Amino acid sequence: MNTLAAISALGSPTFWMSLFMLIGIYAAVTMLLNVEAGWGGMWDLGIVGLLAIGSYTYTIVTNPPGEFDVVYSPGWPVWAGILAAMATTGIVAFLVGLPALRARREYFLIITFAFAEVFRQLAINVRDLTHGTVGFNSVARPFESFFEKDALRGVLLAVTWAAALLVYALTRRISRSGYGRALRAMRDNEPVALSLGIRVSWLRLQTFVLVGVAVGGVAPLYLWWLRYVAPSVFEPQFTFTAWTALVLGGIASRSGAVLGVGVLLLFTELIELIDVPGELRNLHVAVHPLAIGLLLVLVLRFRPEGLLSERGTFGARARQTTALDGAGAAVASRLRRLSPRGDSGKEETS
Amino acid sequence: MTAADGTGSGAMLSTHGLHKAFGGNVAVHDVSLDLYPDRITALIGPNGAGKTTLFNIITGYERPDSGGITFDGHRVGGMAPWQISRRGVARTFQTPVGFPTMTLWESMQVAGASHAVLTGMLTTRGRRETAELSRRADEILGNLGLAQLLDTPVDELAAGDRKLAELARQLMSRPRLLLLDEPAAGVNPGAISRLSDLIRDVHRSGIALMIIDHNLSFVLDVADYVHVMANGRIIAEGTPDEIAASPLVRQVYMGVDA
Repeated sequence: MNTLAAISALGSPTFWMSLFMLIGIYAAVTMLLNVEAGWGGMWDLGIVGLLAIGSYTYTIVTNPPGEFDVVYSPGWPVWAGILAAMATTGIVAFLVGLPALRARREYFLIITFAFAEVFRQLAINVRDLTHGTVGFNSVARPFESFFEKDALRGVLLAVTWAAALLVYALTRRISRSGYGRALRAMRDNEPVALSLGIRVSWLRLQTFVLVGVAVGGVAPLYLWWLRYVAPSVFEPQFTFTAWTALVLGGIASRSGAVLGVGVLLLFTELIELIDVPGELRNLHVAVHPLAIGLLLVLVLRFRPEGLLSERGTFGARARQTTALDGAGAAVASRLRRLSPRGDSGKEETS
Repeated sequence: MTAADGTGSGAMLSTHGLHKAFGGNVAVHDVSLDLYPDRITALIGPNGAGKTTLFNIITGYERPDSGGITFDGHRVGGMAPWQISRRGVARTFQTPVGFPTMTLWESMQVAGASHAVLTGMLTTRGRRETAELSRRADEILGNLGLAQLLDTPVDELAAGDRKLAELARQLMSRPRLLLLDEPAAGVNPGAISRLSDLIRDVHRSGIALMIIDHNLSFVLDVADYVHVMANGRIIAEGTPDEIAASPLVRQVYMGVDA
């Protein structure tokens, strides 16, 4: 009977709607994490903190005045809320980045992790502004007056995927720009990057702020789907999921972030669907992280770089797609055919 | 050829009384030297003489305890490495690791590209820049005989090619002065004379050069003027012939590293 229940859930549009919504949101955040951590080498373990700042900013400024017992609720329209979320998150990223970016690798990781937790504690304790642990049980959504409930879900799903696509286009542009190459150069070898005139500290700060602004823009999409805001939403679990997806899909690969999110979320949601009798519930919950760990070990055992790789994104093809003159591209493709490295450039077919 | 007028006043880079100690270890002691664009200058000396530390001070990676550096008449002492690089001083590193995740061609594009977020992503500028960088990379790789390796990942290059790739990459930033840290180390003996030719070509193209190396015959062959360093001090300088004949140099340098 359990299998039957699972199969019927698989057929429900709500399940797939939710899954695709989550994939869109996580994909956008993970792609941004990839810019920062995959290409820039800044191991940010506090990306959920940026999401939290964007989320709280959006909710506080868009809440209808008087609906919640908080000191500030100007009741701004949705679009102003989105802009406010982006701006605030960018400013906070700047302020956090100023001291934090002096640290490297695991030290940066610890600082960002701490920052996200500090912010969550603030959200719990600054009740006058955040409504404490309860948070806000409603979120302003766009188009509410134009569509009825089911249609609105579809529209918001489309908006979310459009945003994810926009983030993909942004990362694609970055990967082909001098800025993107400077990021990877700085990650690979900071002294050499400096010797080429790259102002590493400034580049790191710019990138952290860019990711902050973009994550601030993604935050409202997440809330439109969740329809509530509370400190529990911004536990480290969100960051870990994005990181797991990034490693699965292939860190520093452009499309890997998306593929990783798809595979990971499909896998976890399917596990969730398995219906177990009451006495086994606890076990089911406990098995969940175990299964994710197993998936990760399995993928990395056979593909240490992840499902896709950095070389897939930036291999020999980088030349063909960036060089303007056709002659150069022709030479490059001829050279590529001669070279034995047949597996590079598998990922992109643009 | 843009090499400046003869010796005397036209020093491109000068250091004045540079001093640097690590704890109680004096790595560079009162080093003053002038570097002229019209000759290839070499710096030799036994291991631990302070040669690389001196390079690191000149290029901003180490801060001197005292003393100053002028490049082109401007004080550059205390500037960050990227600032010194943008003024036209490039360097190579002893271990040519480079950017291991990039292909040779990609690593050539890092120098000279827009590093700022916005300018780096604006379409027209980015495209034109890429095309221009692409042309220059092809030219440099062609001159160094690396054209067929442009799609090879940097970490798959042979040791000797990696040295050349390092040189090629630093040339992309259009330096006016290039400091080479042990260019001949790890290059197979048969290829050394070709390396000397390449280095002379680079110099002839109008780039001032300073070389650190252990390989004495290589240095005496390629350099026009040699400084000898031991225990953090410059103990002798002169033309390669003078250096080869100096008893002091024989004692300090060759005695250790023969």
